[in-house]
Amino acid sequence: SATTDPEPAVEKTGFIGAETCKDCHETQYASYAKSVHFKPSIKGPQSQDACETCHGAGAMHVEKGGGRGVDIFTFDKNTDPLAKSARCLTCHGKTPDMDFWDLGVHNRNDVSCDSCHDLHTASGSQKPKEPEVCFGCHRDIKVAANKRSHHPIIEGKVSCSSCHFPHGSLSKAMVKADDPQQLCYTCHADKRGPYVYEHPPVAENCLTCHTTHGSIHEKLLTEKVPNLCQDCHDWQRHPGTPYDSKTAFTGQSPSNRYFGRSCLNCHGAIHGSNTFENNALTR
Amino acid sequence: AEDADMRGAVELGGRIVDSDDESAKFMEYRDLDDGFIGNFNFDYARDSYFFGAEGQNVGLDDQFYQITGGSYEKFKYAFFYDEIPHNLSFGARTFYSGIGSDNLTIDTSTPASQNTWKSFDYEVKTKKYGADVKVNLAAPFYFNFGVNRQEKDGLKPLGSGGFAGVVEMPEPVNYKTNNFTVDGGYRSDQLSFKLSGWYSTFQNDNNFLDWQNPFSGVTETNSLPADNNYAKIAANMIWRQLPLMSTLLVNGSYTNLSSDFSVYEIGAAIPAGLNQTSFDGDISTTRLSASFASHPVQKMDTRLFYEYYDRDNDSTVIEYDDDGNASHLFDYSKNRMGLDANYKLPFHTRINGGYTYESVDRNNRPDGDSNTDNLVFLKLKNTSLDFITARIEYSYLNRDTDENHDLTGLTITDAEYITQFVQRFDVVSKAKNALKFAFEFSPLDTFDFGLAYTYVNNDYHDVTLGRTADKGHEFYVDFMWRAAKILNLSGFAGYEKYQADSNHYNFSVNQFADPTIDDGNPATYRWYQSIDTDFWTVGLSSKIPLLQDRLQLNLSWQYQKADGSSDFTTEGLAPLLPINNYDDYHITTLDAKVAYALTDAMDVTLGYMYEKLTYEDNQYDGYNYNPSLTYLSGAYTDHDYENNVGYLTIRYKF
Repeated sequence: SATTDPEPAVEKTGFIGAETCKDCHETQYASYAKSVHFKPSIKGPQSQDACETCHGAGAMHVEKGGGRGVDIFTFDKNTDPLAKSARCLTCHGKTPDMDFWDLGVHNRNDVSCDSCHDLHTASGSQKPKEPEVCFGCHRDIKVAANKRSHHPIIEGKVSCSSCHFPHGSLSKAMVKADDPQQLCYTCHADKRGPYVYEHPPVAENCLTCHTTHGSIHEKLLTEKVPNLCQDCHDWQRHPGTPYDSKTAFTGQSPSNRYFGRSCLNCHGAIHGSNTFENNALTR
Repeated sequence: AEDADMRGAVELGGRIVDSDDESAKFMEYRDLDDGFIGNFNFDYARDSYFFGAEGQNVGLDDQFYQITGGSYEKFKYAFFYDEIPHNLSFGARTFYSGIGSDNLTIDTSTPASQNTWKSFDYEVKTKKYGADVKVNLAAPFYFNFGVNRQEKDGLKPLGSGGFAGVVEMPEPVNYKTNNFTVDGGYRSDQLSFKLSGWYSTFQNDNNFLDWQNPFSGVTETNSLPADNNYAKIAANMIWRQLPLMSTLLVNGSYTNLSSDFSVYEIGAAIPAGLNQTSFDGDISTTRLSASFASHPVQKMDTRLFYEYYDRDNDSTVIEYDDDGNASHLFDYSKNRMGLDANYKLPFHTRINGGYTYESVDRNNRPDGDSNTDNLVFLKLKNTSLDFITARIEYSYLNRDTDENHDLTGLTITDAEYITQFVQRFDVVSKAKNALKFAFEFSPLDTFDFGLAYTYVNNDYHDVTLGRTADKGHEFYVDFMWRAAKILNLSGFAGYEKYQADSNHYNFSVNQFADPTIDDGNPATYRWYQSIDTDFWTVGLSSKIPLLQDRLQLNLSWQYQKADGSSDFTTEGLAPLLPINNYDDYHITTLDAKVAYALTDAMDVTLGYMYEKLTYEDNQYDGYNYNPSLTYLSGAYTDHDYENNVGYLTIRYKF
């Protein structure tokens, strides 16, 4: 475990100092000098061993004439992700936000700190900002977020971290709640209820009918109405009636159970109703 | 002391929009009218202290402001204000007076000519503002609290009515949600403890909507979201550095949701024989979980977990008509447990497998009284070549469901008799297979290529009526090429296919409510539906430095297309006609931006954006506001748009 593994004892020998690193790595040093990590007033690299705080002692590296990864720790693509994160967690692992890092999906899938964070930039911020940094791996989500019906992710009004906790959580998909309903209710408090007349799938899981990032169907629905409703509701008269193209506005026998918003033309209280008389979620 | 570091930027400009169609979809979550553009940011840091201010889209409907600050490792604070427009549909129409109020009336006894209907927009504007504070003064102890308020105001479409006729009308949205969060704890190498609380109140200015029914003239009442209060307390504890390099986590939470109102607030006729005149909504949830993660050997890590969840609905049961009608309180409990393990094999291969068992017991859900899920998964990842990463994952879920229908006293011509034949996809027994494959290829430092494929298949078991199967294919590729200082080019493409099949039964009052029996009545028949949707998308994006550090051109283009259909087969006499326009749409977007650095501190940006959306759907083709027994308002009819946007900004950096 990255946070629990005792950090290998660092022998305070073989350290060469940042000025020596700078001689060859001028560009990297310049960006480091602009970063939060460079501030000597915080418990960061600069208040410890500067470059060698994270990269390790550099004497052997210098002796061998340098070279990528030659007797020096680098944050390259091919470096073990756990080892890279362990370097960062030496300082950052004790912050409460990292409590669940060990158990989180990212850590368990080889996502290391430098996958998302740039260690040398001026602000220490993520490489690209959200959502692009997340889209880099989550291709399906990138496609979904651009669909006709979507949460305002690409507009910047909902960020990935509005709903997900990328540093790890106990919940599925690392959402910032115990379950999908609690998460959705954070913004959609009007759907919380309690209702006099409930719609049980609504009460159990919003994701039965809705998808979260984007959909080709209106209202982020997983399927189109009336088909989504009819997959569950077969009853006498209209719930079991087939609605084909004859029942459209332009068809031979238009039906207000089909055209426009279909079932929602009547059943406006689809998430639950608070009338005392049971009106099949129409009131 | 360190020297102060101060930096920031102010960007000012203007925008012109050439719009062929006034579409809410184009403006769904943004304000893109002609006008002013303003953004700013400011950062100040000295020693361990920092301060930042940011403003985006100043003065517009989607403006955002934030102030952050604090001292590293000691405390942080943030104040924010955010406006989020949600434009649903422009140019809607209605014959009602009192739009935006909780009382919709008709000026005349019946809706007059459509020429006299009033025009309005379906839109909901959200304002969010609040503050968060994190305090770590006495490490290892910490304390965080936050307060925020969300206000939503506007109109959204509400459908209501019945067999006598259907009406679509503007529902007032005047919501206010207040949230208070607090948490605190202790964090050391070996032990973490955290206690947290969340209290939230939701207020709606209109808990009910009175509307005059145009078919009867009678004033009816619809319920709107009711005021509610939500509270949550949670605690978790983590022990680390246990034997076998293990970590134990224990977590528990309790929530309560309440709402109460009286039948007299509704205003509608009180049902005969009503057992209660007030409703006390009361739903509690309890969650307990534990997780134990270990490294028993160097190349292996394991995880055991257990979770218990209970939803307890203690709300008032409403009965009337001498118990002939009653509300059914839905609650359920879940038990979930499992284990998974990671093992490093030779040749840079890692294998990960696991098993999860879940059982659910429900009240008042007879079609899914209980179910047990057994899930197994296996993942393989190989990185034996430095420039290639390959992953493959397979999972299999088997769900067994028990139904519990009470058919006592029912006969084959009672509508309720059919419940035993309806199997609903969210709870029914099923087998689910999912296969994922991903491949990352980085032959050069300057070139990355990736592809991913996912296949998911749900086969619902023993379904007489309902969804019998659904399956989906998703295929994505992307690349990024950084051609030295000449060009930065990236692109992606995706294809998704979704198919679903379902069985249905058409019958009416006093006909057989049993689809397995032929009653000889041609008006009673089974029918079958197959849905097929295809989705394609492709995009390219480039950054081209025309003059190094002076002039940069950014270009991006994206196209997407959705094409769906619905086919039917029927045992009835009349053929069913397929639906070909099934949420079909095309979207094309093009962005071009040239940024020129006038000086080191000042740059100017000239941009152009083109967006076009065309939408075709059988349910909206030939839209009619007043078909038989129906009054519609035009909600979601303004799908199409084709817009050109030009903008010019100048930015000063300091």
